[in-house]
Amino acid sequence: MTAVSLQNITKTYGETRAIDNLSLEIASGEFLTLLGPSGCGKTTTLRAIAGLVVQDSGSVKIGGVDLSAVPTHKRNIGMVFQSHALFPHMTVADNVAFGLRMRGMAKDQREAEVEKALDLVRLPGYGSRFPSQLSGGQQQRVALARALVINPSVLLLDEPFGALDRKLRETMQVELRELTRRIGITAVFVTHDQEEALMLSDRIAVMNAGRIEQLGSPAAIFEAPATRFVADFMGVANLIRARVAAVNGAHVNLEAGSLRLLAPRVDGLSAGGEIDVAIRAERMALDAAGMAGENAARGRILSAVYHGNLTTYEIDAGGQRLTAREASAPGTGGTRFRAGDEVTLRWAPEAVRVLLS
Amino acid sequence: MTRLFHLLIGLLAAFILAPIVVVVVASFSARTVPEFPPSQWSFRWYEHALNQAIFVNSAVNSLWLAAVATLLATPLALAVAYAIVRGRFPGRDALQTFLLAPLIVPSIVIGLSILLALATLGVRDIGLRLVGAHVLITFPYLVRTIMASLVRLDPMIEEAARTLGAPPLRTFLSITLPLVRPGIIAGMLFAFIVSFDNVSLSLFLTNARTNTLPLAILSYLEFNFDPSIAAISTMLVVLSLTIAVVLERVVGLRKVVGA
Repeated sequence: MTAVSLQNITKTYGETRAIDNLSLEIASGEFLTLLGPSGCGKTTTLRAIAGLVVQDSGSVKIGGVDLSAVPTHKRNIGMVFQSHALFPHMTVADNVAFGLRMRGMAKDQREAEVEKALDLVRLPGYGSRFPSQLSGGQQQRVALARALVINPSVLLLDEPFGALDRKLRETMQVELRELTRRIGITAVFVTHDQEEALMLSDRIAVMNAGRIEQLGSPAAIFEAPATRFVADFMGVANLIRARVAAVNGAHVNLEAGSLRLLAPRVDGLSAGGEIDVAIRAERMALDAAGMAGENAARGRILSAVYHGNLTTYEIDAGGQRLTAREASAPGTGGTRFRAGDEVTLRWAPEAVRVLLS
Repeated sequence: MTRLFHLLIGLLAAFILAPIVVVVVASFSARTVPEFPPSQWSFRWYEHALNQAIFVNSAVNSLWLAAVATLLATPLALAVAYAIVRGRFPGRDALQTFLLAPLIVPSIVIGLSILLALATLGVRDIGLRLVGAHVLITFPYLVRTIMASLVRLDPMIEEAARTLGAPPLRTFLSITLPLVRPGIIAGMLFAFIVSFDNVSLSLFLTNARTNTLPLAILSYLEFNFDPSIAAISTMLVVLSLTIAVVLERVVGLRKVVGA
């Protein structure tokens, strides 16, 4: 069943199109993430669902009802902001009870609901404190309780963990994931952090310039980016412009300078055409010995950067700059090779992903 | 370096405070002219000042005027400040500049313009004239301080209230108003002082029977030079200090003046 449906939404600010004819269906109970760099329109899209931004054209439906002309306070949504946006002059309990009070719930029932909501976010007994007396993580949990206690049709989260430090952010991510699955709520999450998106989501919509560039499961987005933009944003280090040399059977032969690549065949390729391919750095294997050939290149190490469990090498392979990443070898001072070493790079045909132009 | 800096600050403070100290000390002289330091000390000029009908009546007038003008200007200023800070409409910056004009135009010019305008409109009632003029000059102070509070209020807090089901008016009353209350109180106290202290506008709008305290002091000084003026000044200084202390305690003066 569809919980939220956006149809042909467009929002313009002056000359710029913040949202450009965007359509999206979010299933009931689904956790969907809008992922993209700042200015891609992800927050504007979220705010359009909330009614905090009114689209120029298109419609927003929640639970099958067109809410395009309905103001925010009648949409029954729960929203969590990056700045947590708690009411500083109210206690935690009053913050959480605010939405229930607006719905005219009786005091006894309200208190019981508030208590349940604070238990849910693991803050029992914090009701009488003020937001300023809580840590950043606790404040964000109160904001979550406040948004959930009204039993909203959809939970909207706008980079809620952006202001937290890395360790706390990871804890909160695990908690949010577990909590939303347990209560089965539909959630729309906005972030620019690809790891966060991969970890939390059922589906990810990668956005660019007000449009959805690719929509799919975390694994599909990560392993099979459709466009150069998505591949780049998902951290694919090797984006290579190549010429189609031949198409035969299940594979295509590609050439990029002296580099020869074999890739799985995709529709719409013909010999002589130019395309982009993506190869993740960790799919490139390094050897001291070996020969150049199909899906193999000789090159010289330009730099070796040790970052803990992984080491990243920049390699010059006959004028083509390639990046390879491997698990750091223990007992070698971190890096197997040094700048200036001659190496051979190898990769499997399945590692080569042909991108749409 | 720091020591030199402290010395400079000290000199500056002395420069500002010295005249006030002189007035306060001189108000306790026993002789018929203000002396610094007094050769004999007494409270007699306080008694004298408080027994003068002209001071007491004009002080009552000034207090009433300042209170009424402030109470009328505050809701207007709140509405305008909210529109300027949260609203998005053409001419917003122009409106902001325009509303601060009474701070820039010489108040003697404003006084004259109001006199001419009120005469043209046929407003004869002194109270009405004074209240109208004082609402006008207190207004920009209120708008400024309330705007300063509103700018610091995260708009997402108001948005959060709306997502939780609060209609716009409810959001304003339950969330916005309590959170900008310090700014409103500070603005009201500033407005009160500005009105109470005003000479240049009142000069054009009062008559022989209705006077404000600053004007009463001026006209008294034309014919008398006894320490009762110093006594009144001292009482006003105490009043202002009390207000400043209350401000600091209630809302934090530093927050209010935006330092």
